[in-house]
Amino acid sequence: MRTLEDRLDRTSGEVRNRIAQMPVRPASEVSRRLHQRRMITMTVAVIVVFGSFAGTALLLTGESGSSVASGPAAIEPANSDTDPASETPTTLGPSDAVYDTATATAWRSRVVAALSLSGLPNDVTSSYETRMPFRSGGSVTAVVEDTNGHRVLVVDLQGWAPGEYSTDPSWQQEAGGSNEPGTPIADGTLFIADSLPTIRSFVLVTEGGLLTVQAQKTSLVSLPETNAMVSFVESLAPAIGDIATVVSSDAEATAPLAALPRLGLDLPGWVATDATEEDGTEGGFRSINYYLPSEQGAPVVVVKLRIRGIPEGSAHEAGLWWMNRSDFTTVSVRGHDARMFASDGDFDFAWRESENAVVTLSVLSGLEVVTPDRATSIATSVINLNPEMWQELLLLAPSDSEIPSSPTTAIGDQ
Amino acid sequence: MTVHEETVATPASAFRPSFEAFYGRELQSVIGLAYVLSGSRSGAEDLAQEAFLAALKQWNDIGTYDDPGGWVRRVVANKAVSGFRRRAAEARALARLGRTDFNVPDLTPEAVATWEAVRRLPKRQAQVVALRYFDGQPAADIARILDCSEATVKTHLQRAKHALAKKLGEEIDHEDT
Repeated sequence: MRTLEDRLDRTSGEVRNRIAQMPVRPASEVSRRLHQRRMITMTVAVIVVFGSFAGTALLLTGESGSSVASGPAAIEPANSDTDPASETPTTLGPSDAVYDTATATAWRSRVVAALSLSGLPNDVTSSYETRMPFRSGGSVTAVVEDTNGHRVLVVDLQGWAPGEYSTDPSWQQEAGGSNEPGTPIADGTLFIADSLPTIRSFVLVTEGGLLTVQAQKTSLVSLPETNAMVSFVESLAPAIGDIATVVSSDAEATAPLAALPRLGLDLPGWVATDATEEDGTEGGFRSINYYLPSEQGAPVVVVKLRIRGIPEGSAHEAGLWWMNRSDFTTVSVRGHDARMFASDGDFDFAWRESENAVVTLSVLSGLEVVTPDRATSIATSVINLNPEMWQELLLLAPSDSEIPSSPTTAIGDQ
Repeated sequence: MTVHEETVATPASAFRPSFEAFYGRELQSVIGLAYVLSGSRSGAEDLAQEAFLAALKQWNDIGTYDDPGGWVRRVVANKAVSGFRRRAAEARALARLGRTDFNVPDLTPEAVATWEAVRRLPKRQAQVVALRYFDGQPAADIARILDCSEATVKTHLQRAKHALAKKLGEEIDHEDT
């Protein structure tokens, strides 16, 4: 008999397993990409780890047992270790995925053409862009799903941030997510990454961008053969430069609050843990938290940035009482005067450059005991805003609020 | 007191190695506890980090406790149920940041429904269920963590299980306490 206790135990185990997949500390931007890919892999592994079902409707085909790519492939029977009753539909794209943009449509066309050339079914079911406005690169993705709505092929292209790409073999290997050296092909270096019995992944590192192709076995669809996937990657490679350039420029053009992410990301070793954005009648709100981890991942210093638009009479005013305390020191951070409040190793900076918005930054001691100079230095690294960027942050106030035309600080006068 | 309501004390460098070992050992289970109680993926990590930071600042004392993990769990259990209003917003913001690496991978519908039902319980009941089933704590330890009696823990647990059984359409195993 299934009981409530069984259910709580079972779902507790599920949560624990999923959390165990979370990396504690991504060491670099490249690592972040690798973690993302591994997360996809492991999520799919969880999905297909359950029992079996002999599928008949196959979307992807492959030539079983051959080591030479050659034309349309034979169907590889679905393995009998998946249970459709346990199989959970995979999710759609990220929450801010923008479907069928011009770039996504162009990518879809290129993917369809390459699939056709490789003898693979070319019925792409969706394509979308995921913009990364706080980075310089974006990504574009084309997806093939089976008739149950499970992803069986994901073709993802990420643009590089300026200066990110390197020809260094070890960098390329890390970017390719492989423990083995890559194979040079005409347009870049090809890596086989995260191969599992139920997943087949290829990563192509090119100067134009990072192409990740991942095939996933479902109860209905078996994996395509390696040679067919290599053929697909080679066919798609020439399109990477054109599309990746557009992806990156799209991301730049649509960047809201472009200054916000500069927090910490320009400081080596800092890691973002949390970000929030809200827009409501009480004004806009943006927050982002970063920390500098120790080798073991423990917080050395924690930084929290809050930007809040405040309409007249907002309840949020009451929460700002501490800014009117008298025990502050005025410090100048890149030309913007702030009130700095100190409390046993923690520091709160407050900028209020208009009646309608407030920017606060907290520098909290962890393993490192932060000094006032160190806190100010961190704040200077964080608040790296030119006047236009600063103004953009202050526009979080409701649209009928007046924002001063120039960010001259008068916090001491308020 | 800062705006973050951190408990204040200067960290002692002599205690850092043991704190880091403690942090490494407990982090994932504390994040998990924060997650099941708050339903907030990245917020859970932030919440856990705040609790560990608070522990670090009193590590001279907390580091000598028999169970410093219980102290951190109490902080997290209390903060997690005090309200995260930002779940959708945080997911959107993180996606804009291209930050998916700290997200808990998607759960099965059964797990989502189960822990949503737990979060809808009264605060104390939700804490007891999470500590008992997610964290595997016996009633006596839950009582220490939540600073209440063991009998109170058992009462909360029974009430919670009856409410969850009704909500989720499951039977209760009366031998499981």
